[in-house]
Amino acid sequence: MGSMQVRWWFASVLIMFSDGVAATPPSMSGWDYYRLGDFSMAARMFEREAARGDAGALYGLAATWHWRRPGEDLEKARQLYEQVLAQAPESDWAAWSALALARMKATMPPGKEPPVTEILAAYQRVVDRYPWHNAGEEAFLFIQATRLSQVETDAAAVVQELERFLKERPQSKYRSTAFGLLAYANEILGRPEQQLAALLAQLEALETDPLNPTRDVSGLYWQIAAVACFEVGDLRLAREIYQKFIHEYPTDSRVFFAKQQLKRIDELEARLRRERLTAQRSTQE
Amino acid sequence: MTAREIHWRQVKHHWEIYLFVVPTLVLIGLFVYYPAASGVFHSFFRWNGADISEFVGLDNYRHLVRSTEFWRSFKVAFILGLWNVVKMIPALLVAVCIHRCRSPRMQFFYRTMFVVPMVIPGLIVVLIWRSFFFEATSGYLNQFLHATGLMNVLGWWKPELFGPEKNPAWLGDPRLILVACIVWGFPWVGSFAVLTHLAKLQGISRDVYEAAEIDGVNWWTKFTKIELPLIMGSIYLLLVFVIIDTLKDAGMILALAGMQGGPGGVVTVPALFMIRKAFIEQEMGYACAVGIILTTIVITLQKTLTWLMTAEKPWWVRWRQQRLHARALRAARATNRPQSYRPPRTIHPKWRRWGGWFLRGLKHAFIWAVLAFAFLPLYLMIIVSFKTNQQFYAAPATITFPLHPENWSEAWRLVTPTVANSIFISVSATVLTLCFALGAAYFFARLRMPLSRFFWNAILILMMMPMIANLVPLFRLLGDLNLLNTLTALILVGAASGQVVAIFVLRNFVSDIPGDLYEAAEIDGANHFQQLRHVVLPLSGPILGTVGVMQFIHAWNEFVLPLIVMRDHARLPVMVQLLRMAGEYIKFWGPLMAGYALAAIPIIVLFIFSMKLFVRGLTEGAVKG
Amino acid sequence: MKVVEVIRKYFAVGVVMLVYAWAAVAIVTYRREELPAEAKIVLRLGHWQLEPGVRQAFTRMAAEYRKIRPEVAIIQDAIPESVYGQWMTTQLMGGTAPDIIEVGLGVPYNVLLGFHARYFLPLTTYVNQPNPYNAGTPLADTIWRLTYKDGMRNSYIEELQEYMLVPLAQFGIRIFYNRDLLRRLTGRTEPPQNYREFLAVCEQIKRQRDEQGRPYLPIAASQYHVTMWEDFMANPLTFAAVRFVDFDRDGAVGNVELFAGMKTGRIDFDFPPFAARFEMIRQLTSHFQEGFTGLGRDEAVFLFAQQRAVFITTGTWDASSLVEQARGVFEVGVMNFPLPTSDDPDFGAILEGPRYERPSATFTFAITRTTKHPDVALDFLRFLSSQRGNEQLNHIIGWIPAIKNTTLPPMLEAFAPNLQGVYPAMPITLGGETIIRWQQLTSLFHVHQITYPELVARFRPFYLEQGVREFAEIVRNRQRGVARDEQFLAGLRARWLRAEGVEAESLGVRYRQLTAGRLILRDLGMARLQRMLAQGPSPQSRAPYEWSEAALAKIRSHVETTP
Repeated sequence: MGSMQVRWWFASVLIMFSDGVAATPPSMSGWDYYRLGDFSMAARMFEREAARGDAGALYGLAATWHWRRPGEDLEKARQLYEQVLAQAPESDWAAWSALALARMKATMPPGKEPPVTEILAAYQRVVDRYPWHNAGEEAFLFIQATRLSQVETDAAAVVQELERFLKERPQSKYRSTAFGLLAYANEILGRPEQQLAALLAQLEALETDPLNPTRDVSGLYWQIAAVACFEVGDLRLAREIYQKFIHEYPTDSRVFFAKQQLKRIDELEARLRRERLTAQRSTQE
Repeated sequence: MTAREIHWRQVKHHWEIYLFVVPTLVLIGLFVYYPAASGVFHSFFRWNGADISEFVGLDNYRHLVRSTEFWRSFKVAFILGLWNVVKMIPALLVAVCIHRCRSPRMQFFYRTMFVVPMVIPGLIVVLIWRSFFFEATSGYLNQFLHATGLMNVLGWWKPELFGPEKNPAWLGDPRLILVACIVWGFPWVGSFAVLTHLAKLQGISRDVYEAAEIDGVNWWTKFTKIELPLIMGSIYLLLVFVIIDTLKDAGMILALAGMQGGPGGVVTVPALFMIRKAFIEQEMGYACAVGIILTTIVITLQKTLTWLMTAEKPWWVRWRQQRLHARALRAARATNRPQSYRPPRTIHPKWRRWGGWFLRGLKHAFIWAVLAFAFLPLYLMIIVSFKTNQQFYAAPATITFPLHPENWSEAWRLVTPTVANSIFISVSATVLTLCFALGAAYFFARLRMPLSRFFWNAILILMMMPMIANLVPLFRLLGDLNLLNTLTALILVGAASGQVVAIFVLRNFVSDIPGDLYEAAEIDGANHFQQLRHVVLPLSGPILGTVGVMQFIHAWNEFVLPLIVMRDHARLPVMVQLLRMAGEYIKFWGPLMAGYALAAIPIIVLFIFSMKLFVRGLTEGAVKG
Repeated sequence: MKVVEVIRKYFAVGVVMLVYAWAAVAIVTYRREELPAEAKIVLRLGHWQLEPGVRQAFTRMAAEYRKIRPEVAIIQDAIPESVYGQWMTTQLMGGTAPDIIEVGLGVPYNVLLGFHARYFLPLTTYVNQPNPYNAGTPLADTIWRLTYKDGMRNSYIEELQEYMLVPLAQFGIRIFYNRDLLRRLTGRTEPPQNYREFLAVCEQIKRQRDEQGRPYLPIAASQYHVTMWEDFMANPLTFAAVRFVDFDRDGAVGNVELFAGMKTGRIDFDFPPFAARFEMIRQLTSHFQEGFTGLGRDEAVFLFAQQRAVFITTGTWDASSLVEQARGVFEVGVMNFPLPTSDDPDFGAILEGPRYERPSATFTFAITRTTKHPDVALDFLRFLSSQRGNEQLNHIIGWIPAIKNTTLPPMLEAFAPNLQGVYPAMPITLGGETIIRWQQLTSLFHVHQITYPELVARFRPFYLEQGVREFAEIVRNRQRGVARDEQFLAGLRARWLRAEGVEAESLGVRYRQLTAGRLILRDLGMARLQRMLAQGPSPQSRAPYEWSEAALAKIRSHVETTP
């Protein structure tokens, strides 16, 4: 029984009554805890990092209080977002904070959401403040999506806005999403050709992940083929897309269905040809 | 011997006696008190056992209070506890019947026979019930109910569960699993209760019986007026242990119903709830809070039960008893006879003789019936161990030929390493326990040193503390000490947990040694080491044997801690290996049963060798009620 | 005499000491035997697969691996399922976890997520490189991830945006049968080839009795098994509903789409494929044993092993164990689910194809951070998931390989997944109330206490009324669910903004794509359905896969102008 045991005992006592944050793996930052869903630890880590003046950590703290469920504190989150806006107004974090404030209105629980006009106005403020930032473009798209998801919708006005957006921003990374909204708006308006064109443009504009070049566009192929076939009547395009679908996604659940559609197309054409022949014969007679 | 009080100024003459208690204090301080304190501390934290440790105040306790699952687990534990009390009755009846045997040879025979089902590890019995009795399609329980027509009777009562075409899934049906947890182990003589009751009954003087027979007292009056009151002390003690143990236990439910506590978690008990929270959901702080509440409830219950059993009766009970006694006295005076006297019934001698034979026959028949049921798991174990699966399916309950002794060599191959581990752990833990406990017992019994009362109370509290409640911080401690996945951990923890009962028993023994022997040694100049070596040790053989056997059996049967702590197959004790074998996807029944038998044999052999010792220890009042 | 006295006195102690010494020696000897002498690196592998063949397969593959790397020894820890969750948790927390550990059982998903982040090594970099053990095969230049039949889909942990697991097998479901009993009871040497034959065989079996006078059971079933019969035989009958109610044209029917279709009169319970599904279930369950809904999986398997029943359905995970239990007693065969022929009187006109089976690799393993040899652990997993290695591993076990260009073990040829077929399209339940009511009524239907028309009569009004409330609740839940998506995307966004170079570009692409799918475009489908419901019943509306007038006109015009 010597000093070693005494020191061990004191160390044990200290450990027992210490803060208790023991053995934290060195790589776990605030965002690491956030992604694991451990918001209490995330908040603590963000507070330490934010105390060093890190705007990203302040944004992280705001996001933690905004999106944690349960335990959200929207008022606290709002104040923190505004602090980011005040502290680093030209930073990326500020732009995303502005969008987050608008999203706060749009994502209120059912029954507590403000009128749609107020939500749209909040997005518009972000667009006005950060027109060329990713956050501003997202806000613009949120405006159009919100308008289109109302039961009573002014799809024609949305189409105009989207076409203007696409014309003015040929390099925008959100073109594909914008085309997707355009296709939907044209569907509502009953304009299948424009809908099809928008879907094709959406496919064309899709981004490619440099670290994961294979991407899943089977859903988009399916929609294009269906619209081309059953709405527009472009059987050539429908065949092409169904065959691409079958070729590129041979193990997809819809391959059998796609083959059925190809067969139906063939049968339809055959039937129409027969009808034409019959009509021609009877005309000749 | 009454221990002599030693004051502080006299300590310098006897300082070396403190060295006897230091190893015990270190062991229990490190492996019992430190985890307990850590458990209390961490119960106020959100702690995942790793990097997350966040102070949450009373949140864990608040959630627990509101948790219906937690309180339901207590309800389950209380139901099981109450039934465990009822399940004490067969052991008591068996003990009385054995005691009433006139032939000492028959008594000895029966006592020996009852040893075997007593010492088969409880886990093995549970696993046999799980695999053979409760199985729905061809389990023995369903077959028995069908064959006896009881299934129809039950079907009349609960047609949705029972009936002529039905095979209830005892462990798979949430409506039946609690019944299964109560019924397993029938006829419930697999504990030391029979021997304990027998030991107490044998303490009743024969004169009392002779006097009763002269007065013409019948068998029922003998039981209710003579035997029951005299063994009530041990019954109360066992009752307390039974209820408390049910609350603390997770092992048997875990073995029978699994970690989830059966379908829908229906038979989750508090300890299992705690283990699940800690070791599956990783809510270690919450689990510590469960442990604290469990400890508090157990201690409160123990105190309450003990007070109820031993307290003076309230005034209104005393007043009523006095009135009844006065009335009996008046009646007795009026008839001029002693109040307890009842004239013998006028029964024809021939009828009385036949009646006596009938009762004697009934007594032996009852003992044999209980023995048959008690030996059933052993019988099944042996006969199935010589079968192939096909022979088992074809004839599960009878011997079939050819026999397959190769099952035993297969089982030997499977369980040998783990049997070796268990022997090593159990013997080491037992030796450590005895060495430390004897020294500590000497410390407490020999002299009343300063601080000895404090140390004694500290040890007494441990008797009430459920060790399983400290499982979570203990696991963490073993990890910090780099003892996870080592036999050392099991040995040290086993020795620590065995200290309490061992010291309690040995202290009584040491204090019974006449003081003259110590004085004579002191006069010869012996210090405390020499007194222990030359006075205590030579006399302690039997009691050390008794305590050693109990500790060995306890260490052998332990499986909850090894289940948590051990990883490598090469280091598993045999009970964990059996649990794993029972979890095999395809069960080869022959080697499985042979494995169970091999795991039970060391205990049976040990107990048969040491039974005389054990019984002597009990009858000489080593376990004072 | 003195010697005898001494022996008598110390006999017990002597025996104890002797046994103790034996135990100590046995422990040391066993531990030495476990490891080969020349092994410098020991890898531990933990799993819960106690099925026959798995442990042997790992032992053999470890021996094969040692031919390449003789300094590496692999030791398995096979843990029963019932305690696997607790074992894994304690080993990971205690820092004693094996180097490679099977993942997916025993702990809640949120806890598992924490394990992924804290205790397992991410493998994203490696899955995008070729597997060196595929050299000399057609997969030599294919990145590791794409050598899998399913593209390693199950290994990707969305929340962490990382590949964390290495799968080693696929599973499939078929019907197993007792060849000998089938022959004895029906005279057949081959299993029935179609549905009508199957029913006829079942009828024949039911009429036979065993030595105790008990009737033989055609099919051993339980609550666990009945969903397999439904899923593989009856549910595909409902496929035709896709053409009527796939309003968002994604090729599948969601429960909200089906409700909208029912509510607006575009489809109903008397839709022939729906009625056909229930009729088939009625016909099949009449050949299950009495009280099957109260039985567990093991009990049905036991009936089959005891030769009381001829057919049982289960997965490849059970194949080896059934064969093992039957070894020396009877022969086990495997057959595909027997489909109705095109001229079947009840189902011929309705069934459009066989059941589609999505390839999905499982039997997944992670590498723990506490391993002292992460490179060796990764190398061994690559070895096991190479074309040759995976084929060999699964041939020994009797499971389906997860890697492309591999062959199936002979017994499992019937398990070759059907990659082109139909799928179920009757997701009837919406929320809590409809689920409970549906389950109650279908339980009664399973035991033939009610007929399908009675089931519909009891369910339809409730569904159409309660469905409105539950549809609204789904809409609200989707709104509430936005928070979860926003939470996730905020984390991804932060990673993107803090990354650099190509990683930043990649994360940015992923972020925008997920934002579009989960936030911006998410409500458009529901809005479409809400509009439909607001417009009210329109049973004559054109179905999603019917040609519009304008389209037909264009097609006609094209046909007329082209030769």
